[in-house]
Amino acid sequence: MRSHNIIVQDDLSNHFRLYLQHEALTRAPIEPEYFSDDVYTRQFVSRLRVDHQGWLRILHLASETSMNRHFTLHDCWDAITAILRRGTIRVYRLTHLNRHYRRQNEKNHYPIIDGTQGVHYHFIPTTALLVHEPGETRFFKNDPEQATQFIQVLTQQQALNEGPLVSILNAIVLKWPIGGTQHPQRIAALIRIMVSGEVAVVIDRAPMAVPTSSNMALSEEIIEPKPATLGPHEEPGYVPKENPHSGLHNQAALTPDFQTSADSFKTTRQVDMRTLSPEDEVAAEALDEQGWDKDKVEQVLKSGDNFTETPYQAGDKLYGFNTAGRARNLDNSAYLLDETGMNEVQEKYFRQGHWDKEGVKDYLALPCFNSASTIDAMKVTKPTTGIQSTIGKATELLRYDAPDGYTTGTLGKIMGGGGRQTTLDPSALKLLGK
Amino acid sequence: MPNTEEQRLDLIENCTLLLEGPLKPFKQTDNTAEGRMITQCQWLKERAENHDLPLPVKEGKLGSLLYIYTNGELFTATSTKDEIRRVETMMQRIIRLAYKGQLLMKPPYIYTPYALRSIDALITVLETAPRPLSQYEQGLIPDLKEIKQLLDEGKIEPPLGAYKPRYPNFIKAERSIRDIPNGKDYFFTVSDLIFNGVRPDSWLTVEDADRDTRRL
Repeated sequence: MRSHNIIVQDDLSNHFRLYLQHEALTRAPIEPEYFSDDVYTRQFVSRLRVDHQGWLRILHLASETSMNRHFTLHDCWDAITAILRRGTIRVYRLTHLNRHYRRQNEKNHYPIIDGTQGVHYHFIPTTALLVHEPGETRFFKNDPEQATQFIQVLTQQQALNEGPLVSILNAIVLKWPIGGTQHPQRIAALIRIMVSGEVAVVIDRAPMAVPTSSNMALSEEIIEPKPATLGPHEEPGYVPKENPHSGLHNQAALTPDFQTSADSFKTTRQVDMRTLSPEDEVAAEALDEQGWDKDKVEQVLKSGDNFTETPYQAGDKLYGFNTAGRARNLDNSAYLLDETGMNEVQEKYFRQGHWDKEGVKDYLALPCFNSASTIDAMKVTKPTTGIQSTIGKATELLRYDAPDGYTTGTLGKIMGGGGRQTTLDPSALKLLGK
Repeated sequence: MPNTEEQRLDLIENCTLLLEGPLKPFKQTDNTAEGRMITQCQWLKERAENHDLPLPVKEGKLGSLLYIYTNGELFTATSTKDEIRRVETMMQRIIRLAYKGQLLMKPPYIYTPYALRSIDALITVLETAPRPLSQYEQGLIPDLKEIKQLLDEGKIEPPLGAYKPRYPNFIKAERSIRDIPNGKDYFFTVSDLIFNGVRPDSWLTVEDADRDTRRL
């Protein structure tokens, strides 16, 4: 079966090799990317610089398209997300490819060591094998004995003297610096990177067929990057593109500013804690048992209605929109989204490659200081029961200012709510990601 | 609802503790929870200092405080449990003063003797109830005795809000106890004193507290 060699790039210039189900996986000791949940997988997919036609082509190669179905770009993302989750396509990160793309004009080749009896040894980054896999290759991952023995043999053959050794170490993109400049230290460094799995050795006993920087770019199957980045706003070096959605909060140049007044966010539902309805009594008792004090219980009751109990199992995910750069503390977050709630928000407010932050804030009734620019994820650590409610309306008075002096003046804002929020026993949660 | 000089000074004190403590490194802005809390505390403090803050304060003026407190917005993944408890206690005291217009059950425990009397009174109400007690109501009696001892020995400091799950009988008995004569009033008095850190509105002074609890 033909290998397609599909290579894609994300908005941070990381390259990934996609293996379709019918393609033989690499023999190299490299682990594929792990996609543990739908939200992160979808985020990964949407950050890949693949345009609509590119996704359609990949879906076609994966036999996932149908004559009877029209795939929009979002349909493609959904389909690819599902495929990655079930492992029909496997994704491997090409950690060294980017450097070699940059060196392409230098005609750089991986170093070749000439052994005895006409045998040549090509030291290559292991991930190069994701692009081109020659016949005889040796791997030394987690095998220091074999790596040491192999290097000793080359040294005895006087094939690995100082010149070739330095050329190998200079050519391989190392994750850590080499300590020392003496020959034994360099030998030790080489063994270390071989054992780490960073480097493999292609053994050539016949005419050459090893990957070089020039033949790694197998252009026929490389999916061209699309022009616009979709990346998360908090990534270093990310330059946000203009958000196509309407709403003041989607305008990058405007920041909420209302420093002189305490008037701000408030919920609209009225609750008297001493005369609760039977439904609210049940919710309040459950929230008490989760460990929330009475003042927080009151605020949760005021923030929503239609309270229901929902069971969660260990491993389930909970999410919260947050301002980029802030690491949420789990012990104190009463307003979360479960997987279903998060998917609802995403379906409604992630369009054209951008979050409609104004829409998210309206749907989840988020106050001005939550810019909804990042998503925190948490994992349930033990079976527990969450309290779900439909987020109620909230109002806010605020003003948006631009650096050039433009100001909207004070605005009264009504957020409709409607999303489903979840309040969980914080001791049953663990932070994921950040 | 009381509106006293003591509450005014307590409000100024707790706002100052927040502004000069955990909020000090941050600047006033609406882009961050800390910045928003600075606005909130400064607004409350300035008005309290100018004798221009009738209690309770309208909810619309306290939205930032209530949301930030409920959703733990001031804390990060590196915040310690002690730090969270300390800052939350300051915030909860501001909420109880400004939002509810209540009087604090505050250090140095000058109201502790009267809180102990209130706990005794609730125990008596339970022990002399005209109907058989539920398992939670029965379990509440030793819980109350334990809390009374810890409070008397200065080993606990109200508010203990987040510690309520340690006393599940308190949670379960809250609804059922209401049909017992005086059960609801005595229960909420003790619950407010211990878990919410506030004393009854009628305990304006130590003398008032003494008078109110002497005949319980």
